[in-house]
Amino acid sequence: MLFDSLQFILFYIVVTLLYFSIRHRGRVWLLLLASSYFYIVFKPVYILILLVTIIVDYFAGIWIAQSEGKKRKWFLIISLIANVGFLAFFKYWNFFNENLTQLLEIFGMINHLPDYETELPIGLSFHTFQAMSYTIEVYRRKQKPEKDFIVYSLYVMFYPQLVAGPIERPQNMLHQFHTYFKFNWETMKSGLMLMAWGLFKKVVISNRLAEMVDYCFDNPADHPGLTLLVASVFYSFQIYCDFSGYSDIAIGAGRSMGFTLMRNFDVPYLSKSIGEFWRRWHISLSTWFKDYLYIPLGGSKEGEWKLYRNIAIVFLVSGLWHGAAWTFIVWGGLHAGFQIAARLRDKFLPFKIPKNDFLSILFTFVLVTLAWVFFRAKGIHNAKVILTKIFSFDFFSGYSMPYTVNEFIFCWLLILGLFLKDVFASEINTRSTPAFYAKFIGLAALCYLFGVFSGEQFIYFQF
Amino acid sequence: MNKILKYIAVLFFGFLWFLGCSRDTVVALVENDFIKDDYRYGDLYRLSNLSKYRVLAEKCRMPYSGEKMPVALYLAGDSFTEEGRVKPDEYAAGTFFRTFVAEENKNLQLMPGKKILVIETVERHLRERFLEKPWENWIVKEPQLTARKEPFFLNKLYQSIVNLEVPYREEMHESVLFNSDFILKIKELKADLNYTFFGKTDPKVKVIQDELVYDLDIDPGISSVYDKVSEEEIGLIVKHVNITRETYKKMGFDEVYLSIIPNKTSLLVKDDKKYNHLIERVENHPDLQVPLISVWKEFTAKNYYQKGDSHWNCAGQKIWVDKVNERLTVNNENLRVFPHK
Repeated sequence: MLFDSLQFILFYIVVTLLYFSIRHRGRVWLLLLASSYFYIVFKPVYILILLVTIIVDYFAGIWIAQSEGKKRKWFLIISLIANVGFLAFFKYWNFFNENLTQLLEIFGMINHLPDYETELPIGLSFHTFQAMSYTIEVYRRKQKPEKDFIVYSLYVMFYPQLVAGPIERPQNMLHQFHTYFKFNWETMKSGLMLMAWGLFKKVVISNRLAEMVDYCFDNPADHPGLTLLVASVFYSFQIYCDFSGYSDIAIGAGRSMGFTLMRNFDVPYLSKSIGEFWRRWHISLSTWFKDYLYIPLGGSKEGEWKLYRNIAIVFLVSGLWHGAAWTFIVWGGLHAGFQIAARLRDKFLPFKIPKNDFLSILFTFVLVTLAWVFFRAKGIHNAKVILTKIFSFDFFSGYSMPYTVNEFIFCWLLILGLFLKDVFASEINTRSTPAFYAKFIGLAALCYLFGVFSGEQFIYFQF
Repeated sequence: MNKILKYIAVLFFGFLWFLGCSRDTVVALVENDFIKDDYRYGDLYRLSNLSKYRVLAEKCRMPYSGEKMPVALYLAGDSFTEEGRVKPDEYAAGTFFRTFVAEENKNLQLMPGKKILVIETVERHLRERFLEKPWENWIVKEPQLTARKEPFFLNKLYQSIVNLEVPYREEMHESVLFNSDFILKIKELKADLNYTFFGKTDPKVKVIQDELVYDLDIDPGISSVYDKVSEEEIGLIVKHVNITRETYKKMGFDEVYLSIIPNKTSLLVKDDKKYNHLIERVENHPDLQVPLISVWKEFTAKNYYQKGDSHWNCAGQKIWVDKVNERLTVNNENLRVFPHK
């Protein structure tokens, strides 16, 4: 079920109305059933995967808490194997198998392992990571095991963040499912406004920019450098509006029922460095990697070279998390490279580069956009074609676009509007003033009038 | 009071949600006039919502007034001849059977007596239906000689779990909620705004020469009126049409006709150099052995298409139905005397 669909709007209204109409225990059941329905709309059979991992992690959590020493570790390992196992099979099997085939071919050998034609269960990487964070936190004794199976199931399946995050931590979510939230008009308004803003970013900005992006990235060889440059910049904003739009709707839907989900974006394109970008982009994933991979690897405390190694590992794994393709690995590698290069520059450059906020933001944006080319391109070859054409600086051999001039200008105005909103009004005031209602109705009207309802999935659903 | 309101709201929205899952309920509501038919202003208007093309689509009722012929008419047709548009009683045939031309029918049962097959297809899908292979979607039912082996229970269970789907169709909600004339005004505001400022319509439709047409007709691809069709391709289509005729004659049909309905777009661009003249080239091909029910000549002389619809108006429909009835009557007068051939 897509957040920008009529089906979701009706689903949300029914679930929220029912939620505030029943008592606490019933609410947990209601949210679990609603979340299950939300999930099975995509592909019913994959709910079985969720069920298996939920059962394994639920019991693993209890057994980890009850045991000591090696046993404790083994229960954690079993839980991690179950989670990573599904991820490995559905997401990475064919990729590794394909690469193994190519590797063996070099040595004149044949790979006999079969490929499996399976559809990737939607949101697998998200709910797997969320489930893993539970058992790890219980293992670290930072979280008590959840005894209530229904509550634990809801922790994994809570519909607003089930398929594309934010990837929550048990410390933030579990206690909320035990809390009875009374209807609060202020949080309802705030949630609805956030949902409207998220929807605006998705259907008005992201889906419109997607037309240019698809037009160019599908056949980059047919387009000149300037067109590809514009498409690359548009993609930076498309993916931002798509994903942050999804997160806003998720957070807003949760907030309207009284739940507080973690912030996932903090105006990332105003970052002055790549390091800062990662503190502002997909925060729930960045902190997950920091807590469960970077710090266990030693973080920055074991010397400079180990720090570089850790950064490289984290970003390569992050790239792989996004998708089983070399383009994602290169994307992750580039981000690691940018950060390592910045640290080397600070360490070895004999003079200090004068700091200019505007130029730092611009330079960071250029680097991020450059990396996004690999993220979006259909294969390494296409990414190379795009970058070669852009960096040939041949901007005068023609320009083509799937828009009229008016719409092209409108796209840039939307980007400008987004930028101004992020700079001057990162939080929308939700006090009950006429201005608030005017803003809400205006936003809803703009979503309808200028929304592109293409039925396209959110980009991050594929992960 | 608040609680009662809450439960009423829950019931109301719950029922709305249920409608999205039940096509039968929505169809029943439309048939009983609780909901308006969302095709009432035409299929192209339904997609585009451009206010200029909002004209009530014509509903034609022209029952055949003469004495019906003792022949069976088998029609493999597309949307031009669907029963909502052309009712069975409009044909001169005593027996009438129709299925959608693109759908397979493996259980065709032939009636005794004279049988006439008409394969009707719109121009845009002609190549899809005849270029690769002869049209052979109808298979006459034969008694089964051996019992089919039923799949193993667990296998069946597994397949049914894997193929499980939630029965939801958003267009049902669209029909129920956003189909009143008032809501259509709001939809028109959006459509007109986007068309005026951005030159944008629903991706499935386009405006050419101030007329609304399917994008499929002009977007590059096999359905496009601009897509180049070589002489070899035309020859292949004709060959497959001829084979189709032979196949169905062998199956027991006495006569087989082909009828290609021109695209609305083709008639608008017929003088355009880029137009591929598909119908004319097939219909006039020297190797074509299949008798035609052609409306090309009439349709090029005058506009027989509706404003917000891709289909013919009543006058256009009558031309075609009359031509079919002519085939049914002219050669079969003797059957009235000797009904069993």
